[in-house]
Amino acid sequence: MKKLMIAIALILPVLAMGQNVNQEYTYRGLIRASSSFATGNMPKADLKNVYISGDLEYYINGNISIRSESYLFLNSLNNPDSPLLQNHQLFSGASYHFRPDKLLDLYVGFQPGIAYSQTSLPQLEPTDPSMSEATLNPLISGMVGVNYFATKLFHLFINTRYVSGKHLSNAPTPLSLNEFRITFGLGINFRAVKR
Amino acid sequence: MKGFHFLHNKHPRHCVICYNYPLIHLLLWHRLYFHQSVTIMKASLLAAIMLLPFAVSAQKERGKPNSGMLELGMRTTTSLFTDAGSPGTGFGGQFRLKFGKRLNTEWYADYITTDIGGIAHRKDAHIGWSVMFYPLNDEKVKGALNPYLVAGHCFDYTKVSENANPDNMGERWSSAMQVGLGTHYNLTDQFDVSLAAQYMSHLGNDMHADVHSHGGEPAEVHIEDHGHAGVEGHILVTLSLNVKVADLW
Repeated sequence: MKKLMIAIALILPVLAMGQNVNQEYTYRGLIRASSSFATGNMPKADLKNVYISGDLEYYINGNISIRSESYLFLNSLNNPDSPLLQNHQLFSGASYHFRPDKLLDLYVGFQPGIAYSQTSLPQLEPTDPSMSEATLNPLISGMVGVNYFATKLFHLFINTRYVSGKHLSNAPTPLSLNEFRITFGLGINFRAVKR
Repeated sequence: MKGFHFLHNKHPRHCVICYNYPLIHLLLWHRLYFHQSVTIMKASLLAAIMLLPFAVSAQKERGKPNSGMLELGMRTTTSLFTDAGSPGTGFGGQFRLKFGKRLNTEWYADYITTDIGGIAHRKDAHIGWSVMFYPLNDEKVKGALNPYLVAGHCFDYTKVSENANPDNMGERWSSAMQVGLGTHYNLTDQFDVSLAAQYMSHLGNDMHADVHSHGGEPAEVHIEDHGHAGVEGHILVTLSLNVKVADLW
């Protein structure tokens, strides 16, 4: 009897979700936001980076959302002498959501962005500067991801993104900022306008 | 107080709302909806005034569809066929304001960086505007393509510098003209993706960088800033995402 009660308690939320057959999970006026850690791999520079990420998304209808995202560069994990000193990034663009009527919100997106980046410089002489000037460098980014709207207020998300760009400064050679990046975590979602 | 009651024949003391809140009584909705003694003539006059904006709006729908539409957007720009050799990448934004049935305007700013042979780089900043003309279809509805001709003008700042020797640099302020073709693809009634290719011709001093390499020696860059005016150009391919935010008139 006790086991049966536990089983019912576990199944109940699933049944409750099953009742929302015709519900739309992404709709006009939905706001979604999240903050998490992101890890990235720069294949050309052979760097594995860690960022704090944050994003804010507004759905202009069930299929289209506008979205801004920021990444605060923390460090490169695999190389203590990483040439990358700063690589903070901002993106803004839009996403296309395939199935507004599904709990699992699969989307693709495109976001232009900009990086505030700085690299270390080889010091041939002690008087030489140890770091390049920090510069703004445009980026292009595409992303694929999924949100799982588990409850009315919260969702789980996984976002993968490819970033393309180049750090151009007074460093003798440019550093490629091309990076494959993944973020996941828990986000918040709420309705901003009445239907 | 009595003067406030020209739309109905109740004295304020007979009306709880008017008696206690004379300012609320001034509001039209109270007069119209809470008192049944409004004369038909005055109500008709009021209705006519209230319906006037809809009538004007209806005329606009027939004459100038989408005129007054304000859009906001983000853009990414690729600069091709520059003297730097490799394409540049840019980031920017724009707003659009539609002035007529087939006439739209775009006001933009962007920032483009270009690698020059791995030893120098170029920065371009543009701020300008363009006129867009829709020869075929200007209806911005879901699924529609709106091809357009575009021409405009901008002010720009260019800086070219050698990476390892920033003192070897040149910069200039100039203006430029651009002309090209593009199309919107309306993913929804409120949102479009636009792709445009424009030739931009700079009208200021001619400035460019030449990379030379002789045999096995390291490449050198010569940044030439000619004092005379020249015509230097490049192609800009712009992909932008735009949202309708308001209908201004």
